[in-house]
Amino acid sequence: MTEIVYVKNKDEFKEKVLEKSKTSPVILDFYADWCPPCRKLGETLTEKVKSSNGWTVVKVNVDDEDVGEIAEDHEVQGIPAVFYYEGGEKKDNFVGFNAAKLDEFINKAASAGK
Amino acid sequence: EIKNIDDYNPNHGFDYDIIVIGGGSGGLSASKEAQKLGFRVAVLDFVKPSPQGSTWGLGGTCVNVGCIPKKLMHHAALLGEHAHHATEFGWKNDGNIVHDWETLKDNVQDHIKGLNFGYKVQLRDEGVTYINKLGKFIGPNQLEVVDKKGRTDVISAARFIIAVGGRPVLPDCPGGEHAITSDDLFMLKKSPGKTCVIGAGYVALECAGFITNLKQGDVTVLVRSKPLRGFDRDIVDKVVDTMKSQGTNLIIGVTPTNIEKITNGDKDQFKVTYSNGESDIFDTVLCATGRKADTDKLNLESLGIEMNNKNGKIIATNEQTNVPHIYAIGDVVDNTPELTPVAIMAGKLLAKRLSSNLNKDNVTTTINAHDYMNYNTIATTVFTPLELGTVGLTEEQAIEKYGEENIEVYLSHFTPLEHTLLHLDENNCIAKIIVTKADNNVIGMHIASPNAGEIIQGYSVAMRKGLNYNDLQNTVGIHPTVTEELVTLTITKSSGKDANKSGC
Repeated sequence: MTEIVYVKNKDEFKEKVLEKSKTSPVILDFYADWCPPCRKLGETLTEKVKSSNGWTVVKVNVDDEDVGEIAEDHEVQGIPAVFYYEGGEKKDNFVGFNAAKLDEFINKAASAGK
Repeated sequence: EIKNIDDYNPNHGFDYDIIVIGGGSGGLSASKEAQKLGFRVAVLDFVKPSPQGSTWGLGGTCVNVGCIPKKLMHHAALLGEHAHHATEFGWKNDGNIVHDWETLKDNVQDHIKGLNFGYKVQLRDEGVTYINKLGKFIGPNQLEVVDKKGRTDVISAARFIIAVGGRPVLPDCPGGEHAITSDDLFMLKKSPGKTCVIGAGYVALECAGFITNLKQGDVTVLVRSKPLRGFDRDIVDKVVDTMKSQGTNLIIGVTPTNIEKITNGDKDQFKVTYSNGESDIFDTVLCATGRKADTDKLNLESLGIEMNNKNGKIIATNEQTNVPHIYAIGDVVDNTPELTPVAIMAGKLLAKRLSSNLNKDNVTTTINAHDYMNYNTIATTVFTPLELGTVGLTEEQAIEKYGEENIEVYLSHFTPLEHTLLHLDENNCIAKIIVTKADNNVIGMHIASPNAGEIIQGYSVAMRKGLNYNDLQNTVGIHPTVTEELVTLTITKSSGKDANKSGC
């Protein structure tokens, strides 16, 4: 059963998002503990990733000390900020709890594993 | 005429053009404006934990432990009042409305953390460097900065804007360290419970007011001399009357002489002894007797900066200290109103003036009068359960400045329409206008009523443009509202007529 991965610094980001997405898609979620829509999105992702066929979810807490540059590189202004990574590159993204876009990302990730 | 405020040379060679010390209302406003105008700016913000261990993020007092959480909690308390009053308006409830402190505290803190994040993003987008370290001067242009892990560094700038604000003081009686302050209240893990509030300024009464109405426990306020000193007496009386009728207990003329911690099973309580010999036991002691400028550790003395030794505040003229390249804005400045919008405006105007000699051809444009901060006729509101809105002179100040025989005071005691279905004290609200007799110009406007904050703002715009009593009388009121009282006041104190409203 697949679980959510938490990334705390640039090295972990390189390994778990950039490198990992070369083999299977990664859904990257920038969030914070104090953000209610982030909580909702997080709950949905936790549920859906359980039945993953290879794709993973990586979460980055914007209040963590060493993630500032990662958030800046992604120009994170509002949260939740969600990115779809495939082949080592970000292909798509959305901001806020957008249920439709989230479903789209999950379906895309699932079909990439087939 | 070419006038350099402080001999600024753009080719100074320091790390930054301007370092702003303090990321609160004033600091953030000044730094963003300065960066927009072309300066290379850094903001230093570091929160020293309170004696109880409370700490918070970027944004200063207002955002974290002042205006924002205060107003939200004031609103929470009002919602409780409205819920109780709703039965008279037809809503059916069994009268058993319970408040959960943790839910309120969590939601307020979530919002504050969102604001902290928003400010970080804003600074980053504007290009301002945010440095989360504590600074002190080690030279006229150098600051030694230390982070929370104790690592030090040195940064330099051509100019500095000190915007460090203030922090609450603790009681000086034995056991004073057991008291919490506004630094701690808004993030208290458990309900404050039965509370002793020491102090009677606006912080003390606002907090006493919402703790009472959130039904967290009995509240006793220890008032050293009189409530809300500096505000118009007649208006304050109404505010205090309402607080009393809601159950807040105010003891006038006492100070605490001792605070003793008593461990009662698994919970701590505090026995407070008053100067009149009486005492009582409380779950929480909240000290709100005043604030001191946070200048202790800045090492300003080494630069010879003029300070007011009584309150630690910096003496500045047009936000410039006696050391030309060092400026100050906000609560840290002596003799200016301690208000967020004052700090914000002063910061913006200062940044503009500092840039007025940053010109390609090296020619300074002249600075106009309205480019300086005008600290007069500033409206403000105390968010006690019955709000107090004020702009201009109080009756006491007007008498002192002009003499009682040279002013006229218009007055009305009234009941807002929405209160008429409730069984509250009649005419528990008040509106007052003060004019100079010779010309009928308005020199003060005051109101104690619901929504006083929303009401008084517009009148301050008018007063700054030179409002006359006749202008008010010639204005058609909006009916039925509370604010229309201020354009229909006709009864004067001097006439001896009864200023109480009766009927429509």
